[in-house]
Amino acid sequence: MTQLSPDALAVARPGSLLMSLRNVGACYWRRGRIGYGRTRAFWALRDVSFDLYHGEVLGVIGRNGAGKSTLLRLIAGILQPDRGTITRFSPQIASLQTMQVGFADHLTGRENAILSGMLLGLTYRQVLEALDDIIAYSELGEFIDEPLSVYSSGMRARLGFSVAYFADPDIILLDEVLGAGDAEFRAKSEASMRERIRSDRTVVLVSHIAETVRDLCDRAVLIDAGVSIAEGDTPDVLARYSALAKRPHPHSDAARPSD
Amino acid sequence: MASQSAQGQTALEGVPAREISLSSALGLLLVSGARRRRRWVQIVLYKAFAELRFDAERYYIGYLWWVVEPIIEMAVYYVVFAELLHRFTEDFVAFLLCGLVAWRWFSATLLKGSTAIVTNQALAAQVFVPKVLFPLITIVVNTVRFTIVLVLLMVFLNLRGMSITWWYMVIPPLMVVQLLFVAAATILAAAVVPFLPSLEVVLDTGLKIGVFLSGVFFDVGTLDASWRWWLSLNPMVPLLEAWRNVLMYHRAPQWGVLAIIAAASVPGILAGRAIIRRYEYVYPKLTS
Repeated sequence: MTQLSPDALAVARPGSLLMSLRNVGACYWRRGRIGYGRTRAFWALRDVSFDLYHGEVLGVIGRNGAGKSTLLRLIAGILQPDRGTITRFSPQIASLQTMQVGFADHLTGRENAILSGMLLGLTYRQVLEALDDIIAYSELGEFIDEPLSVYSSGMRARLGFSVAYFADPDIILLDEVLGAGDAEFRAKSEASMRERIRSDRTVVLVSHIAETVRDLCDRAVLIDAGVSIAEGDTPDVLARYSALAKRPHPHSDAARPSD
Repeated sequence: MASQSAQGQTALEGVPAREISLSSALGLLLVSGARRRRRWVQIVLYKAFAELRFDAERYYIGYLWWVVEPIIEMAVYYVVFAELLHRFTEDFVAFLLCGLVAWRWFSATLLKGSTAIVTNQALAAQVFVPKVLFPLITIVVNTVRFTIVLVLLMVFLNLRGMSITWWYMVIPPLMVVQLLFVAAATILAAAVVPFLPSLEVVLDTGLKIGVFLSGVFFDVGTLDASWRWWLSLNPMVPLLEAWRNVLMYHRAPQWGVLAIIAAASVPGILAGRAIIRRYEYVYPKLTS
């Protein structure tokens, strides 16, 4: 279960504890003969414990299928743990820097931007205030009032990134990539994201690439097969990861849920 | 979750007026504590507004499609009922349209809304959204569509010589009763269908049979007493009768029966909402 600690309303100070996970496990329900049942559960996370501090950049590293995406969903509050506890010490918005949240093809870019912004935590008025900046950053120009169905995948990615970037949550959750879109926009968006990460923002970055974590993260957590096996300074954790990477993959034959 | 909606601002400034009027009807009942959850209400209303805007742009004659499409479908029934069974009354077209329009509000909303949580599963995996919002959007959109088609229908009836009367004052409470029933059925179905996907097929078939058991094509009052009793257990029968009474015959609807439907729908809505809340964090965990 998820708890909000009694002093949660206190404003978080740099370096203070924001969230702590203790023996957290989460499972997906598989479809049975008639319907869904917990009996055929797939445990994506089994036993994960670590702390998240205000203002740090925490790297979560692990091989494919380690449960990294599920972990981000737990931190974002999309899922709740099926065992263990997540304690939130401050009522902050944690949201995935996900691309194209809630995008619908038949609606215009502007409508999608407004909806997506509200889904990512802004009120209607806040989205309207940010809308000019979002459109300018996305470089979509007059295309913003065209339906999304005429957009190229690069254009969608640009709009998706811009909305998520301007939604600006308290805790930024990043899954593998920093930027989005075609080469030129990717460079620009990655630069913006790096700049934001280097300011005193709280960031959780998930990756299976050691270089990304080494480059950006203050601390790291190593997860394998749904279990956290190391937490600490980035170089130490990455050393454990490179040792682990030489062993055979535990999930090489197992079916994974789509995510 | 408390943190996500804790930004304390006051009014729905800048939101178009049509969205606010919708908010008062459904928002108060279903998304209680509207001030704290204002963002969720805004999402429902803006999504509904965008869908309706798209509707209006897609079809030149706009919502007329809602009438035209079933009329094409009904041509088949026409042959069966008029030519083969000779079950034809005066003003059958008006009779049929009154029944169809109200029936479509129910059936289209139930069919689309029952799968709303399933079809939005990708979204629910990206960001936290109260799942009750998904069927709510369907209900809001279809209620506005119905209102527009109802106005078209009233114009049509007027052209056929059924004059505008004071009985039209009864329309708003009648709409509220049917809205409660539609919402109860849709939210309950939306809560359960994610766990039992085959229920979608059952609902689809049930609605196809239901159109015959609701008196869309014939007057239930003309049937044998035993049949009439069984059919009147279906809430859509008195609802369709009420619409015809008001729109065609300029008579009072059976308020007693309508009151029972409304009174039974409210716990249905609350139960559906409770189930969806209970499984709020389970719906995103259902893998296909």
